Amino acid sequence: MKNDLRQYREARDLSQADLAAAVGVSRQTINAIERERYDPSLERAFKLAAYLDCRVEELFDPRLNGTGQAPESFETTARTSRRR
Amino acid sequence: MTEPTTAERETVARRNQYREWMGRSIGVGLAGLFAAIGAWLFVVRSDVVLLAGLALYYLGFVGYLLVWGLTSVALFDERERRIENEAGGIVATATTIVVVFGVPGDVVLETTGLVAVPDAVHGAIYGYFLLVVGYLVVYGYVSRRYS
Repeated sequence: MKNDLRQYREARDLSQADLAAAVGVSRQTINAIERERYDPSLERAFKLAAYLDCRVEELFDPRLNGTGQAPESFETTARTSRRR
Repeated sequence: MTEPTTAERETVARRNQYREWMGRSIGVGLAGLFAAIGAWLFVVRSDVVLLAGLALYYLGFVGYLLVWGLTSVALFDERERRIENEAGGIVATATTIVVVFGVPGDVVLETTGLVAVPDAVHGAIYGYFLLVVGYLVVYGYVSRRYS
């Protein structure tokens, strides 16, 4: 998943090791997330966002891989099916 | 920036500490075994030396398992656990494929006498078969915990 973790981390002058220790993972895990090779668990994503003082959706791009579009909300889906 | 909880930092510190102990334990065991083999080859050709090396080797791994089994700290983080799961899944799939094709093939070839399957291949196929049975039993046990 696309994310801005590196930008948020560097803006706060943190090393990967600092961030890793703060959220309870290894430095390699932070590196893998930044390189978009690994998507963290929901719990870890919230911990990262809380530590970096931002919202999860600011840190992680909700657009689905490959489609370039955000997933439809329940409301949108319901409205579309009502019109049919 | 929100301050991280002390618990998170402590968990990481303890994880690193325990993993270091585990690594050292295996290191001592392996070093003991190789030292004993070296001593047996070049110094004293006594069975006791080899047995002592083997005992050290086993103790090293027992130490590893003791730390792994007794600690409440997660020794591997979520990415490492996912790597383990994926690697284990690939091995399980490959083993199952060998069994699915190998066991009936072995039985038919043996029965018809078309090909004499070597004992080593025969043994390996049934070894894999037992692994798959074990995997299915453990899978059933684990899946019950999540049902």
